[in-house]
Amino acid sequence: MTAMNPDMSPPPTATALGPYTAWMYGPGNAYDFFAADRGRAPHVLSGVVGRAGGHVPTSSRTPISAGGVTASLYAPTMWDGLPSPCFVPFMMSGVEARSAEGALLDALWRTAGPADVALPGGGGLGPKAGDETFMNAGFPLREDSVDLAASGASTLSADPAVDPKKPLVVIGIIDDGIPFANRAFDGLGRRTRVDACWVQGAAHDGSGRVRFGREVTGDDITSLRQAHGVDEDAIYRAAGALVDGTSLSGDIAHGAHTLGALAESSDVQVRIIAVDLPPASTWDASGYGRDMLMLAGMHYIFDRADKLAAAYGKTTLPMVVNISYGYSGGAHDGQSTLEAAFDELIEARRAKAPTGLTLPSGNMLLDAMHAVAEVASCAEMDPLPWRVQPSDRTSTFMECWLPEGLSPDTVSFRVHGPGPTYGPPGPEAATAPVADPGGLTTMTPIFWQGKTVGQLSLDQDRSGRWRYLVALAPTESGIDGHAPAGLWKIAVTNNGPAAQVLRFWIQRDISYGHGETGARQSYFDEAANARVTRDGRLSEDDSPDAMTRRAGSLNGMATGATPLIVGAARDRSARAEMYGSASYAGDAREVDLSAMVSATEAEVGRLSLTVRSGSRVRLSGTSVSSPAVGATLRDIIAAQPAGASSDNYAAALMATGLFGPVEQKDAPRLGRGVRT
Amino acid sequence: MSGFQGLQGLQGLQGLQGLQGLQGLQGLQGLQGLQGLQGLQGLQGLAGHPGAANSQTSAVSIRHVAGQDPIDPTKITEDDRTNDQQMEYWADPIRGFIYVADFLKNYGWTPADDHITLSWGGKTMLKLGRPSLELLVKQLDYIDNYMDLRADRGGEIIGQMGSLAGDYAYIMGLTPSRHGRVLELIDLTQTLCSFAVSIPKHYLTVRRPDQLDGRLMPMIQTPGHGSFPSGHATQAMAIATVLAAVVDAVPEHFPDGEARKKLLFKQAERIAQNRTVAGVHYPIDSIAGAYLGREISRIIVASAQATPSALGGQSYNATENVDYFYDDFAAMSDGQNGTYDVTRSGPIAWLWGKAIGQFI
Repeated sequence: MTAMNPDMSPPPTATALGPYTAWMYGPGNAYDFFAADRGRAPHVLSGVVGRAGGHVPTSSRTPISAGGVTASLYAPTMWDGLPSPCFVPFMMSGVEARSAEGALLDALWRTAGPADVALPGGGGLGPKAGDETFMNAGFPLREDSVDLAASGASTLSADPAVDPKKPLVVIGIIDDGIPFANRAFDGLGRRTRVDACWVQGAAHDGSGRVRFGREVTGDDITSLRQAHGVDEDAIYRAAGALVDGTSLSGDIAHGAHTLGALAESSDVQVRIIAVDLPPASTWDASGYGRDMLMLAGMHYIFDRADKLAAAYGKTTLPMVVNISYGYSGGAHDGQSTLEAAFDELIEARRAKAPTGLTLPSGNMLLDAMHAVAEVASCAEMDPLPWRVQPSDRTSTFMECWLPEGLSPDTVSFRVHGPGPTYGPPGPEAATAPVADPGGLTTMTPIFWQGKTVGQLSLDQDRSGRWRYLVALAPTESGIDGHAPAGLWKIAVTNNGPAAQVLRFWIQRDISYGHGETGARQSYFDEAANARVTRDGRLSEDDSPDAMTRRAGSLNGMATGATPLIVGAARDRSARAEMYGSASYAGDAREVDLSAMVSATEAEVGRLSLTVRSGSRVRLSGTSVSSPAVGATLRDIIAAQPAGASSDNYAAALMATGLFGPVEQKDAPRLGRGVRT
Repeated sequence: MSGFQGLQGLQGLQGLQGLQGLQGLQGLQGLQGLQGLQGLQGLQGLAGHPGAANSQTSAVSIRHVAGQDPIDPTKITEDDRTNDQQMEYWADPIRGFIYVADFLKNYGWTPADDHITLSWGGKTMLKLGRPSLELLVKQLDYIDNYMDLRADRGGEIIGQMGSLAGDYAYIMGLTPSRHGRVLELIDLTQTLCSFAVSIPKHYLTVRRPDQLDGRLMPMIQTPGHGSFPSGHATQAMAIATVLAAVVDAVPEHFPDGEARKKLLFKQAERIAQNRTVAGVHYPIDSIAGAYLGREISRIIVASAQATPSALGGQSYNATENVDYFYDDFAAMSDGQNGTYDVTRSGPIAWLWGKAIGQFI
């Protein structure tokens, strides 16, 4: 093991920003699309988290300042059913230089109390004593999409074809590419059942209904159809929905497919509220930057659902929301920002009306992106081989989570640069910094041949658990400071008195949708992990001696208390889809239920809608099984009581008789029943 | 080790459909590497002209009307032989033979046990050191790591097994009806590289990666010649360098000349890198090929000028275990080896002038 040249390594630094944010604003700023083309985006969407008891509404508003730069904070539409939220998505406005943003946000969280966040329509959310803050920062919003003066209020009309005496249910969806003009969503009288769709990436229309992007209501859709007839391209263009890179300009969209499954017709009267994420937010497959857009989207759905209820003369309506997204990282203990934020919202709403949330379990079983190392006391684990691909044009991230209660002072964590496949680890490239007693993130650069090619950080999650994050620059040549591709290795020594279990997750790093980002997925490359069975199939079982695991590959965003975690099944004997992620037995959350995706070997994927009316397409993944279970829940949600649901309506769903049995061995991936 | 890409692996095969369209752009048919040596095909041209086959019969029957007079030499006008004008008249393969013969007049070599010295006009042009077995073994890791790109690059790798003209034509905006001589210049460059690189390949006789490590399993057939230097890297770098000189020679033609040159060299890098992805070359083969290709292209461009040039002799000792990236190569200077002289070549100058003239 070659020691780092001490002359080349500056001392580690500390920041109040989270490690991803520190990378995006720091050494990684040239590698993320957030950094590109920022000239016209003086607004960013960020988020604030309070660990203790939430934010107090005030009537004053104070801009924040640091280093001579001043910015104002604004919240998008927020649900008034949560007057003192712990988690607030906010926009920061008025900062021209990206570097100033990072410094401002850092200062924001170090000072005694953050400034108020202006709410639409007046007033502000101020901090509460004892708040501690973590945040994910920096998704740029285009100047022409932001309308800070917006009131955020909207009026939705009732559909005269709806029978108020029969149950009425709202379905909410957050996805990419929502084809609100698709005729499949028409109700009786050929009026759309899409009552509100927030196109977050669109230029604003000055109507003041949303603070960024544009809202398209059911009435808007009716007007657009009168103006453009059957030409759906013209409708989307006129509505401003053809945002750069949107799936709506193509034939196949993730959001078309999932909403199609969620809205499949039934006897229940259904109204649709949708959020179309900005296409650029889906390009970073690690999920960074998308959290706050989703949280803002959830608040919007909750707010508009209440507006819809009022239009029908009710105080509230039962609702099922589906979000077919996820990421690989996170502690998988339900405590991450977004998970806790969703829990807060849903638990508050359930007090008044039954509210369900379906999330996919993930498609990462076979991707070798998860590993578990059990390290004895005063011992070193076998180096964990991590293959970083050549020609990767995006950053690469890997997290290592320490168990609850373990201090990093007893752990030594080292990153080795590429070495031979059959041989010892390559030269050491970084050693983790020590923890900051004040809870700041500490970081040290990862060096290779005299250049900074990455960042190794240590931070404490809001749950109290410690996390190492290894961030690497792209490996594609021609990019300044590109990292070397090859077999990196992670070495950890446990200097404490007891054995410990460390969990590793590599973040998703693939090109998704229409954004060709040049992403290439790194993976754990252990000889002991037998990826193929004796008869040549991909092995869906863990190898006993390997650290790389299939169990635990669950969606890192889906482990909160309130979602139903949905897996995917294949063929009529209801086996799990090959890629379907698996939870650990005994973990806080496991897969609840699943739905059939690939009916036979020849019919790969499940049929649902395309963007344009009149066609269908097959797509695979737990993304498509999640709304299928959501649709089943939609049909029974009106009959559920208000109040907390300890199992998120899973028993009620099983009682419908629509779910087939699951063998015990498949339960970690299929839950307790398969919707056929 | 290959990653598992499931259904995504099939996407690499779709590349085949788009890439082969440009192979029809070859201005010279038959001038591909060794195919130019396939004998006297000129006579077969007669088969396409039915009149010629009939000439035996016509000669007997009709020639009497042409009279009995002898031919007057003073009335004969000769073909223009100034500045190799007559190149215009020759069949494509014939021009190919002329370029090759002209090149071989000056190209020489002196082999040794652990290196080979390539010369031009008797002076050192490039000295290549032979890599050690220890270095080759270390280089295997790069090939191992690049295996994950095979699904992505498969279409390109197969498309790049023949003429490389198509891969540069779309960067330079070339079309056959307008740029026939430019395409000929590209094919010529590629052909001369084939001749030139076969000599160090022969004398250095470096074993291919799959002959050292059975786990690499190249995705195409390992070619029947030595590994070091890489022929593709030689050709690709030579074509890029020649075309970069073309861009510089016609500054009014391209509004974005600097960007085009960057694309040319990035393409050269990719073509060479694809061979490592395929599993048939070590990265150092590409570095050596880049050195040789760059010298050949410098020779071609210098041969086209009216006044002689003195070019710097180069040398490359493959001792470091590095990957091949264009930026790193451009920054390398293993050592100069004196200078060598390049004088004007009539045929090359003719072609260069015609090629430049096909741009505004």
